[in-house]
Amino acid sequence: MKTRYLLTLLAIFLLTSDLHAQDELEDDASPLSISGSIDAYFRYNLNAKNSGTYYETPGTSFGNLPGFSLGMLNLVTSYEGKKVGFVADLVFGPRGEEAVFASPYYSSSRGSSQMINQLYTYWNVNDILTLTMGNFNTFLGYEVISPVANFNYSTSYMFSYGPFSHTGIKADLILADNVTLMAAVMNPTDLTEFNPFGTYTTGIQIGFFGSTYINLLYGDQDGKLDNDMELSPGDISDGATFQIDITTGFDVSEIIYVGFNTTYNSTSSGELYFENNIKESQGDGAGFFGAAAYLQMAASDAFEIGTRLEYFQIYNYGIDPGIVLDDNGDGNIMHMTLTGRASIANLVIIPELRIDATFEDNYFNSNLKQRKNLSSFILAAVYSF
Amino acid sequence: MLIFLKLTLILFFVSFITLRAQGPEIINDHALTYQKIMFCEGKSREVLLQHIKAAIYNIYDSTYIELDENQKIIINSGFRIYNILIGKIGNPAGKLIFRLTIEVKNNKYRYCADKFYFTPLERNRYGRFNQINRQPVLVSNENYSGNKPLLNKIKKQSRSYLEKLEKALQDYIALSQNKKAEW
Repeated sequence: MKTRYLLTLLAIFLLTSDLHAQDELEDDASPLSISGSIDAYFRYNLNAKNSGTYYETPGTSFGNLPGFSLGMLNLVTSYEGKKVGFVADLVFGPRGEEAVFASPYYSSSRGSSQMINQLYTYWNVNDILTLTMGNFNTFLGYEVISPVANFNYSTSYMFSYGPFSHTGIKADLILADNVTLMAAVMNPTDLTEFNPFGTYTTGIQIGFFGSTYINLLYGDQDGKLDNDMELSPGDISDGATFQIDITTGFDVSEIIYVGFNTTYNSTSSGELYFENNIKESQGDGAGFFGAAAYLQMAASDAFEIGTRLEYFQIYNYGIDPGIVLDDNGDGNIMHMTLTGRASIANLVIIPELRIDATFEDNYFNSNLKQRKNLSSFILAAVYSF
Repeated sequence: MLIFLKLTLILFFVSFITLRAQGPEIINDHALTYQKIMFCEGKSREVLLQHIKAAIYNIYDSTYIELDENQKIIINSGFRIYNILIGKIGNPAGKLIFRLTIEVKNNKYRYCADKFYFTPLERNRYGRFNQINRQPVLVSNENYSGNKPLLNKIKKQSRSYLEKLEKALQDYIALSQNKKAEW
């Protein structure tokens, strides 16, 4: 009874005390904050099957399930003190699972790591330097995991095949009024719980005017072959991955915004276990590159419309985006997305038309005939709080 | 035990209502502006000015404070506006900056808070709250006609901020008086 009484008192205190009652007047540091979003959508192929083995999707992340489908619940808790703080960003649902696809490394039964999108703490050393340690979303690319921060609901190829998250330590430095620098040492990309390979990746970001960023990533993503391992002939390990990425965006007028992203990713040939020896493997690097333009217009306070146009190329079997590659392992995709965003208070309704086109026959239409393009429609609802 | 619970509930709600019953008067609701005259009997202008200046320099960083030729105290400051989900739990909606002017006469002083400008905050890709690249917007009925809930939040929280400032000033003045009276 006593415990219940104390708990009731605590609950009453939390519910009735003023948010800033304990803050100093001049202290604008936030208390513990909770925010997030939920999203759900309906997806329909306009020129392909919508169920079964031949159900077609673009080779990009998120928003690919047929019919009425769930996105995710995103729950972000943070404490932003003047000196120190933390962010715990949890995700639940299909979009979240896809976002942290490499996290359940520690537990084969897909334990609680599956719900951690970001988990880090930081120290504002002074006005110009912040140190961060833990798991944070990537600094590369234009698009992000949260559907709230993206204009389009579906995602680009460059986003989908670039890194999603990193775990490591980074230093953010303000060099001048409009110039920032970020330097990081991290685990291999997307291995967020711990480092199983023993190799590390370096990240650099140079920012200009708060809207233009040059991002660099370099490091071995799958470790080195080691004679202490149980190796079999033909075992290989990739070499180091290098990625350079540029993002920018600016307001052309009060209602028109233009964004741009380009990226180049290359992984060198690494090592090969052959004739009981680990040898350097020969060959060219493999990877992808692309560019995307984003044009957005605010038709009114409550309605925006925008388009995304992307060109994406794979070379030397760099990745497998689910399209036919030629004999050299090369392939390319163009896609265009037309998106509307209607805001009703905290809810955003997003109708989206998307066309993905390749130079080879890649998609099966409703009659199971192969064709070069896939047209699809999404109606998403995103509520943020 | 049930009676304790009931009493506690009543106590909290009474104090909750009492705390919110006071506040600076709004003199211009169109563009948010507050003004209030505070009385301090038995204080000359010089003494009062000295106490208020000391209090202000204690509360605010000196870089935000200026004194004009008429000994008017002008403070350019700001604070965050919060979306409150439940009790203490919420998240920052944006940053509100404003100008606070204090004028002092014998036995009284007047403060005026105006030029309230609001800039929204959004979580960046790392989940931290950042100001988005938008010009601060003057807080007025006209500019926020499409977002009444936010306007009400700004009014409520700026009023609460000024109440706290008012109390801090009064406490400081009273404290200065008591110190002087000590033997």
